[in-house]
Amino acid sequence: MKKILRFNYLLVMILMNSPLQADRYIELSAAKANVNTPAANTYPLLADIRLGYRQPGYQLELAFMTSLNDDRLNQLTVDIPSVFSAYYHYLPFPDSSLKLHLIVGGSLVNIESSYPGLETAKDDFYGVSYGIGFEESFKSIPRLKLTVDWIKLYHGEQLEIDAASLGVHYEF
Amino acid sequence: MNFNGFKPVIFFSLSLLLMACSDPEDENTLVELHTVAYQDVIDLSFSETTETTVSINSTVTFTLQGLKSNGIDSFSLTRDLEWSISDGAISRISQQGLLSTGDTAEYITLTAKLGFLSESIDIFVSSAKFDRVVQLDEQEIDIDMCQSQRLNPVGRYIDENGNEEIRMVDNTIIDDIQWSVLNAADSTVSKHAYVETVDDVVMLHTLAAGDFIIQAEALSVITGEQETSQDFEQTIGNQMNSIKICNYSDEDLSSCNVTAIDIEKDSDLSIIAVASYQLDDGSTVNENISQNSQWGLSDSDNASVDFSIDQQYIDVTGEIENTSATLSVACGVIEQSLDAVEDISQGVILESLISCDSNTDCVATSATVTVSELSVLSFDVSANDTDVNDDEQLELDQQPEEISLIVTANYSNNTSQIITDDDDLVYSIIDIENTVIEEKADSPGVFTVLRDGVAKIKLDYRDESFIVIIDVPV
Repeated sequence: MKKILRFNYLLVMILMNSPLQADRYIELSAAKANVNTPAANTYPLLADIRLGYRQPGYQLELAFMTSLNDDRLNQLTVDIPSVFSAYYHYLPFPDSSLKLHLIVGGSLVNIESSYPGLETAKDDFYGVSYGIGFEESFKSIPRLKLTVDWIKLYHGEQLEIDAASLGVHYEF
Repeated sequence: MNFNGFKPVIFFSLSLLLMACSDPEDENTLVELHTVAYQDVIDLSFSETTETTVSINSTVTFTLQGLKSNGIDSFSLTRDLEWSISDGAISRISQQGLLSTGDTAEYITLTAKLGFLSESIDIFVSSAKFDRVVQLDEQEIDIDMCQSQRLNPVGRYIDENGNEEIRMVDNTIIDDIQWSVLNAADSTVSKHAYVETVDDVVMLHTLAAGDFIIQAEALSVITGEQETSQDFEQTIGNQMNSIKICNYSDEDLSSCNVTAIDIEKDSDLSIIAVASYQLDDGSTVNENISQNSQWGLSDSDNASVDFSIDQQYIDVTGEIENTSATLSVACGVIEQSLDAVEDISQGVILESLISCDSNTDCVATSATVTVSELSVLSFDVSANDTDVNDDEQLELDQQPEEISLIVTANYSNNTSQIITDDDDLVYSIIDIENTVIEEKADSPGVFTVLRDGVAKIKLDYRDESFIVIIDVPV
C-alpha cells in the first residue's frame, strides 16, 4: 500500500505540472509483455491506455495496462492484471516526421502466477522504467499517429519485465 | 535537438527518487515458478541406486530425477539445479552435483533445489579402505553378443575397526582395476569379450555369445598387494536376428541397407554395422554394433578400412581406381583366426573376407566396394605457354608453326595432374572444314598450323570437356 501511495504521489506531481497550453493526447495500444527469468520467459498480452500532454521536445504521460490474455509455460499460468506507469518522453528530433522517443519513468507491475498444487501468487514489482519508441503521423489525419515502443518496466536482479507496444495516438 | 525538453527531467528525476525498487526477494516466487515450470516437473528424487556411502578423498557425481507433471515420466535433471551441502561439512559439492570428499569421515546432507522444489539425501563419507571387487555390478548383467554395457563394480571396503562395507567402487580405485575376460570352457584369454575403463566408466563389450569368466585385479589398500577377485561367471546371449551394413548418415536403422559401396579413389564413406535383436516381448530393436563387430576386407590393396576414433563407424576408402573389393562384417564366432589381432578393444579388422563358423552363434553379411576413377572438377589449359579459358578465344600476336597444348586436370581429391599425354584425353578439331590446324602425329596436344583463321579444339576427359579457341593471325 505504501508503495502505491508513493506512486500516486508521483502521478499527481506530474499532473500539477501540466502546462495549460499543452497538446493533450490519448494513446491506445496492444502490448506483449516479456516476463524474463533466468530459466524461462512468459509472454502475457496487454491492452495499453495512455493519457498525456505534449510540449515541443517532450511529453509527459500516464499509462495503464491491463490483461488481454495470460500466457502458459507447461503447468504455469502467468497473467499481468495491471501496470501503472508514468513516463517522460524526450523527443530529440521534434520536427522530424518519424519521431524518436526516449522514454524514462516509473512503473508498478502486478503479476499473478498459478501452478498446480500451489496458491495463486500475486506479486507487485515497481521501479524505474526506460525505453525507446517511434511515432509517425498519418498524412490524411495529422492528429492521428501510429506508435511503437519498447519499455523496460522492471529491471530486477533475477527478473526483468518489458513490454513492446503497437498502437495509435490521437492529439486533441 | 531541443534542449528545453530537459527541464522536466529534473522534476521527473526528483519524483523518481521517491520510488525505490522492489525488494529482490519479491522476485523469488516468480523466478522459482518459471524454473520449475520450464522443466515441467512436480517432484524431485534421487535414484534408488544412489550411493549413500562414499570414500574420503574421492569424487562422486550425483544426479537427480525429475517427475514430469503427467505423474508418470521421469528424467535426469541437468539444468537449473542448486546444490548445497550441510553446514560444517568438510566435503564440497559443485553446482554440477560433483561431490568432492575431504580426508575425514563425516556424515553430510546433500540438498538439490529446483525452483521451489528440493530434495535431500544423507551421505556417509567413509574412511574405510578398498580391499577387492566382490561383484561385477549391483544388478544382474543381461547382455547380448556384440553389445556394450556399463558395469558398476561393487567392492569390499574395511574400516579401521575391521567393519566391512560393501559398496560401489569409487573413482580413486576404478581406473586402476585390471580386467580379464576368460573363456569359461578352457580359461584362456578370450578374444570375444573385453572390459575397458574410460573416464571412470567401466564398459563390458562383447563380440560373440558364450560363457565367460571375468576377473578384476586391483591393489588392496588393506594388504598393499594386488588382489584378484573371485571368478565372475557371465553368459553372453544370442538374441540377434540379423546383421546388415548401413551408411553412418542413415537415421532410420530399421529400413537402411547397403549392399554396394561406390567410392572414388581417395574418397571415403562412413559405414556402420546394424544388428536386429529380438526382445523378450517379441519386438525387435536395431542397434549400431560397429564397435563390437568383426570386419574383413578382400583385395585390401584396392580399398582400405579404418575405425573412427570413437569406433562408432568405419571409413571405407578407395585406393586404386577401377578396382573393387568386398567388405564383410560378422558378429559371433568366425571361421578366421583372431590370433593376429593383438588388442580387440581397438576394433577387429581382418585383411580377408570373414565368414561365420557354421557350428556357432554367428551372423554375417557383406557388400561390394567399387572404386571408381577420380572425377575431374576443372582443367587448366595453356597454348604455347599462354593460359586459355574454356570457350574463350585466345588472340595470338603472330602465326606460329605449331600450337602446343598443356592440359592439367584438377581432380575431386584436390590434386592436379598434367594429362596432355593421357590416352583417355581425346582431342577433337571441331571446325575441321577450315583446316586452320591439324594434329601432329605421335605428339598428343601438338597441332600444326596450316593457315590463318580460328582454330577450335575440344578436349574430352572423364566426362568433362573443354573448348580451346585460338585466333591464328595471318
